[in-house]
Amino acid sequence: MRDPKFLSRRSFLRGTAGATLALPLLESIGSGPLLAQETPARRFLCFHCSSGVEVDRFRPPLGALSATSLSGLSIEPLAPYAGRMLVPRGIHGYPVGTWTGHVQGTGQALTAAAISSGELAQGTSIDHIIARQAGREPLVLKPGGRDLGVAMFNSISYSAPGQIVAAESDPFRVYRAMVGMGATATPGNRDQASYAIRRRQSVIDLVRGEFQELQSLRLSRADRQKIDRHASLVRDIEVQMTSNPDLVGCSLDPATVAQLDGLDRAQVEANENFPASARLHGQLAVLALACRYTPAVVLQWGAAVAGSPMYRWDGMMHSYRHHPLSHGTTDDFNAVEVTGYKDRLAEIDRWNVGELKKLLDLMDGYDEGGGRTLLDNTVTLYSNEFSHGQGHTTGDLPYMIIGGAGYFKLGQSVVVQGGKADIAGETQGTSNKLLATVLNAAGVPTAAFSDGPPGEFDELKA
Amino acid sequence: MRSTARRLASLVPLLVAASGCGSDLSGASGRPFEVASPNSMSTTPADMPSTASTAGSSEDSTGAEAGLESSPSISRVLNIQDPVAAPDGVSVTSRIRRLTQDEYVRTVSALLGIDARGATAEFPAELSTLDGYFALGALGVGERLQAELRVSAEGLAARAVADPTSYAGVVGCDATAPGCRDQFLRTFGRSAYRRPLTDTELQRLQNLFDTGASSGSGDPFREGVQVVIEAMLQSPNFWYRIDRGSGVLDEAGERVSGYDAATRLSYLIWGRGPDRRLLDAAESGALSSEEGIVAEARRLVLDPAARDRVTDFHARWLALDALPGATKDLNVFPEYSPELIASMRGEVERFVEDATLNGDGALITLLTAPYGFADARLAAVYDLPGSFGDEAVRVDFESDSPRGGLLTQAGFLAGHSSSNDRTSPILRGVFVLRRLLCQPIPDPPPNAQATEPPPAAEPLVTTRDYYTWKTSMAACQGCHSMINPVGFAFEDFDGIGRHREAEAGEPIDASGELRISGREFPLQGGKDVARALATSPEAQACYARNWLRYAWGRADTEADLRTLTRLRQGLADPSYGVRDVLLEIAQSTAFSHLSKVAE
Repeated sequence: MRDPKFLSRRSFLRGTAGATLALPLLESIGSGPLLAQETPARRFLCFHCSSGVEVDRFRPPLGALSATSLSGLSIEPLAPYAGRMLVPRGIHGYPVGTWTGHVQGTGQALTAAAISSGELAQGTSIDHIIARQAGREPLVLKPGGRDLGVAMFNSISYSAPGQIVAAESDPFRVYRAMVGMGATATPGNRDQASYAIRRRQSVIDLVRGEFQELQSLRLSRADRQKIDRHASLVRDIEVQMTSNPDLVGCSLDPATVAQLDGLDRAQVEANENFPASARLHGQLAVLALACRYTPAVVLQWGAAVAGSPMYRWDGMMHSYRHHPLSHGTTDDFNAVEVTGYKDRLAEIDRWNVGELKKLLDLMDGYDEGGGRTLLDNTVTLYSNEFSHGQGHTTGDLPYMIIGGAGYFKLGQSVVVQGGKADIAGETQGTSNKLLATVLNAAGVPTAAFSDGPPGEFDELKA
Repeated sequence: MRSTARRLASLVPLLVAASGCGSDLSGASGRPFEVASPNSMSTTPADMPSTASTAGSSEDSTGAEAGLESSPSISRVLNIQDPVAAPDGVSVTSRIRRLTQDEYVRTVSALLGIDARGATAEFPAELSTLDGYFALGALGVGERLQAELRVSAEGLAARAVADPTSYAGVVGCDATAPGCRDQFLRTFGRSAYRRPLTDTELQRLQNLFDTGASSGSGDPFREGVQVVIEAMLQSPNFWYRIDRGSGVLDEAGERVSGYDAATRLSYLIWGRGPDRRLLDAAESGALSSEEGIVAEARRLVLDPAARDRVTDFHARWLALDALPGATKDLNVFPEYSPELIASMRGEVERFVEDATLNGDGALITLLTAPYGFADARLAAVYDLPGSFGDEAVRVDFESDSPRGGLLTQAGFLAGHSSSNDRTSPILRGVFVLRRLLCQPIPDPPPNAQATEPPPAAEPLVTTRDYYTWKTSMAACQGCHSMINPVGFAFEDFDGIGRHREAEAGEPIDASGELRISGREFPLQGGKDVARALATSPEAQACYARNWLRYAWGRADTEADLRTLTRLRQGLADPSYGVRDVLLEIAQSTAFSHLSKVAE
């Protein structure tokens, strides 16, 4: 089912407003034009960090949130949004007891599903569920380096049980996909354009016919889904062009485009390029949401473990990467302790959250009518594999929710029922219920998520 | 290509209890931490009961594609003496497998007669989730890949048509001659879809060709060819290897069709689509018999085109992908650079190619042959006398040299070391045990890293000193009494694979021990580890298992036991090489029959 509120890529054309561009022949995604006055769709942004946080300096006191209550904490940069965020406490990673390492932490972050011995989560992540509701796929981004040892550390997105989706680390490639770069441009000459369209459509019709013939094969359910998914992506040409001025807002500013153009793509994953790359990813994430390229974006802020960044910018000059620091050691494999590592961790948290704040600022700049901005209309979830990184603790995970106005109880830090705001304490709140709550907030009616305790956290709702 | 080198595997309490290291390892707090340990092969304990019947196909209770947990243990493989007694059949796996990106590049290059390397530059990443190999049944096409593969198809079609040699090769007849259009469609179609076109397909393509040819601009025939190529390169019949079957049934199930066999052979051995000779063999019925399949398999393994698959397998097997990511402390290793990494990797690839395609390709050769390939950069790391240039040349090692074989090459050693300034004997030890011997070494228990033994009596100077002390507690020794002696044997090589006699002023102690085959092999240096492995049935069985996983893109199962047994028995002979491995796989029941379909 295609949601007409979600646009085709013609919305994201390069260049300044009003310029005539060589428009690519694009595949249609939505049917029908943008209905500018409709209730804006609800969207989802996951800002996922790894290796836990410096727990002693991350969480505000329970109860009402204010700039004051965030003061002095690593999350202080979020102070302007204190009244529009919710810090749920007492939530344990689900499945409880099996969420013990980074494999589980990444696999279960958005799936709350068991991990197979092949180390793949056996569930679908909520970004896919939310995106599918609108007939789209999520944007899955991961700035920074890769963990070359473990494929599973490089993505928290699963399109189906066991089907991990690779995250994109090259922002240029993301942008290129969003604007349909590389695709054949429509010729300017009318006859040629008409021919080009007819020709392209003929190819599509042939390919579709061949997919159709595969229906008669005896295939497993997984294979059938695999083929059907591919077939559904072979879409008709959409040729209607509009000069809808509402689309003007949906382009990147020239400075950012210039940055993307100037990227050394061979070095996007290099450590020193992390801030620049991550910021570009962030801007593309917001653009994707604002312009309805997709309703769901996963922004994995650095890989877990061996791909984690070494923070050497903006006043930090660490000598060890984030992951070993989270254990208080110099590298992943030995235990030479780093003096003052907790201060380093707090710096990392603060920088990460500061970058999140910049994205929130961008989102808040999109007025979507009815007194609401993109920030209000998006459920932004800060998630982390662990609360306390050193012990791989999954109790009282450091979630934060921003936006989702109207659904969530904002301006509060609330302990979920039966849970304790204590990483070591017995907790009864499970992450699958949090994900169910997020799904509902994002417009996907969900009675229960994964095989954990059913329902959502009513105590987090407005 | 992404494969696994350092694995932070899950701690599954049940399996810890039944681990190969024995002894109680359960930690108190339930808060484990990760250690960088390499690929876990099947963590099935040795005494896990067999899950399949002795004949016919492998049954799986859920009908789902077999995961790694269903692989038979190495002990089970080793306990079978007579392959004929072993289960043999087909497994549950996908019958419609997408080409990997590498396969796509090789396939289109051969199909169009162009060099298509770089064609996948903008494709989204694909993850190898089967223990460092691709789970072939799991690869699919999402939105981004669909967009990119269309762009690629259009670009490649335009290139093929613009290049006179490619164009002539693709068309294969004189455009002005009558019937050339259909001859082109049938011939190119058979190559692209790896089987003859159906009448419906042909008709559709004829219509498409005519649409292209009627543009009014440019040469009509050329336009027709171009649009047809574009379409075929986007077709599922191109992008997926689809097993159709022959309709012939026997006790193992349905036999593959000749064209299925042609495709399986060409992708198994060359990683690309079947050439004309293979397709002709399919057409003539030659591939309907075992003899016919073997005859073609022999031709393919002897062809230089087999090189890519062989080097790719060994690079994944040894997790060479860890190399580029291995960040080293440049104060300690100033020479570590992207160029040096390239030299290291290049040596491994050339060595594997040389040993397997020019030589006998035996496992013992790969692990112990006393030669390598070095350019100036690598020669400096190896402290080789003489002058070297930018091109790597073969270097032979004396019998008393500490080097010889893959495990003493810098590519392996540097990739399996600590991330900055030292080695990691634990990493290396676990890698050998898990990856080369398929032993079920579990992960450390909770809080292992935070657990400290009492302060050492003497200063800890060397890496060995440190890890000996660190793992000295009784609870650790259950596994570390096995891991450490193997890892320590590599201490004669530093973090980038340079040989050393001392560390921080102390002489290196590279003594160790490997306990396999019910015996204890004393070790002195990394070369000894390789030597002990090279003739061990466990390593041979483990190598066989790795090949099966790579070849099939699925976990090995009970139904593969006969093939696994034959392979490991073959590998015991020093003249049995990679070509023989491929031939054995091509002769297996699983190869000549359709897989079982999951529910």
